[in-house]
Amino acid sequence: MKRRRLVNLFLFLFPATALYTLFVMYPSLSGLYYALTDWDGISPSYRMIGMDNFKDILQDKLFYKALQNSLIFSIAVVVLKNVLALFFAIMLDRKLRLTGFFRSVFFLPAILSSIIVAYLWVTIFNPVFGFWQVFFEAIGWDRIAQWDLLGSTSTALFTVVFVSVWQTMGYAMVIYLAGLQTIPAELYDAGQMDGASKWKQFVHITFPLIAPAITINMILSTINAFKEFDLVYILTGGGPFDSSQVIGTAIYKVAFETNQFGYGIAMSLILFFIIAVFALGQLWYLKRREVDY
Amino acid sequence: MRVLHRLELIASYLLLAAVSVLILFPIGIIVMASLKPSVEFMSNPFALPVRWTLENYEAAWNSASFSTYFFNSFSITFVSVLFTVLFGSMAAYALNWNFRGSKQLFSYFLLGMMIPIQAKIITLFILLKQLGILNTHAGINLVFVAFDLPLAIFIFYGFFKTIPTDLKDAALLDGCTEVGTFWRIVFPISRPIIATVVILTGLHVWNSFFLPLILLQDRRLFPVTLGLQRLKGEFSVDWPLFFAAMVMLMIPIILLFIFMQKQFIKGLTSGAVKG
Repeated sequence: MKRRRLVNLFLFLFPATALYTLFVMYPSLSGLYYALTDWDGISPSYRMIGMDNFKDILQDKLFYKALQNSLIFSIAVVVLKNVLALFFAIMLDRKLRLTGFFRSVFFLPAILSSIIVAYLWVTIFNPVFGFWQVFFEAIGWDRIAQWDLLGSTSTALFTVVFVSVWQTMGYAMVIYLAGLQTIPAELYDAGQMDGASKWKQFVHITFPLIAPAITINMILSTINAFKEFDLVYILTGGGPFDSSQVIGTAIYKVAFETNQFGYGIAMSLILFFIIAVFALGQLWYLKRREVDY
Repeated sequence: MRVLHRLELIASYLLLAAVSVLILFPIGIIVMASLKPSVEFMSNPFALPVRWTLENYEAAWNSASFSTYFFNSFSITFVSVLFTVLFGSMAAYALNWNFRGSKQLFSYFLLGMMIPIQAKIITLFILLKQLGILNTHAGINLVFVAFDLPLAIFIFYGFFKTIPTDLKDAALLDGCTEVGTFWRIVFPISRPIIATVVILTGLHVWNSFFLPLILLQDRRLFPVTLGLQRLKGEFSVDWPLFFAAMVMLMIPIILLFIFMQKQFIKGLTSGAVKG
């Protein structure tokens, strides 16, 4: 009987454990080794070069540009997305007509492929026939009509920020809504009796009590923003002149376009490190806040 | 006071309507433009079609080989989801037996969710090349299953914990084997949670772009997402044809979403809300 159970245990666990170990854990760990080599991914031989890749990265203009853009992008997306999501969640957490419809519409972009989302906006912002141009020309704002939002160095990154918020705001909103629904209505009634204003109620009731939803949303959106690849790759390709290059696309560029595999892996480890620091830092700070109340 | 309340309500609705337009409008424009002939699109890109036509869909389906891409997307999604559900539920079920090391093994699976894709994609590319399964559907299916397993295990694990042990014990006493109990008792009552995992992984695989971009090079193996990007990369893209291909990629998902909104929203947020 005991032996039979052991066999069962093995049968049930083996497929998942084997696949996961081979295709998730092994690639992650072997990266630690390849990061110390100068491998180009093609030639059969490569050399151990110690920490040289990391030293080179610290001298690399592309890396600094990408790091700076990733930071700007992530902070802008996380802040904008969460403020808007919370705002609309509160607005839709009432028993009004059509709230169900609005919730579904707001959530809709979250089910679309990033590729679709990116191409929708590539079409809207197309400098030759884009809707942006047609629309602003039609109402006579010719200067704005000429803006090439994805194609100029000063606006490319922020246009990607806009598209990213457009894509993911509804998802964050739904998580906030779930959080709001856990707050007992009596608390607001009590607040109202005490004469607390709407704003006071938000600060003293809503905000503290949705702390878990804030933690989840902040961490999820930070991790996803730092990892961003698809949107940037399709919308701008990191350009013009690297003005919207983020770490995700820079890694792809060095590894798969210039065949510096070892170098790309070293860069990806730095990305992992950055994400871990930001995520764990937020987790630590936000969880402490949750406990306080 | 009442007037103020009314004004606030009107302002709320206006704002909500404006955002809805901002979300639905780009999608609507693409659908509309896909239904007009190329010549008409070039002269007047955003007006309603004068002559409604499905010729762009025909062209995308036949001459731009989207029938192949579509079949590939379906096949990859179906196989990956099937094995993610199967292996994920099996592992989560066994992890619930609380054997020595089960907690550690569970944490080991969760670890994978924290590693960003960029930190494993390059070495994964090398690994698949060494195994001789780079640029094959088998290879990308294995990778999708492996990548989606942690979340599936996490969701199944939480659900299986809520199944009363009495139920399993009763089945075991009646002479059902452990495997039999899993198939006949646990699997059938897990339908809602299976739906959740199917939606979550199915959407992830159907919409995915980065993994196929790295792991597939042969055009005949491309899913729709990659086919779209290559079509756009060619010089002088036929825009309405391109829009038709976009619509073909998103319409199945939007239709499913309309009919199964609750399951979609629950499925997509279940990893987040419980975490």
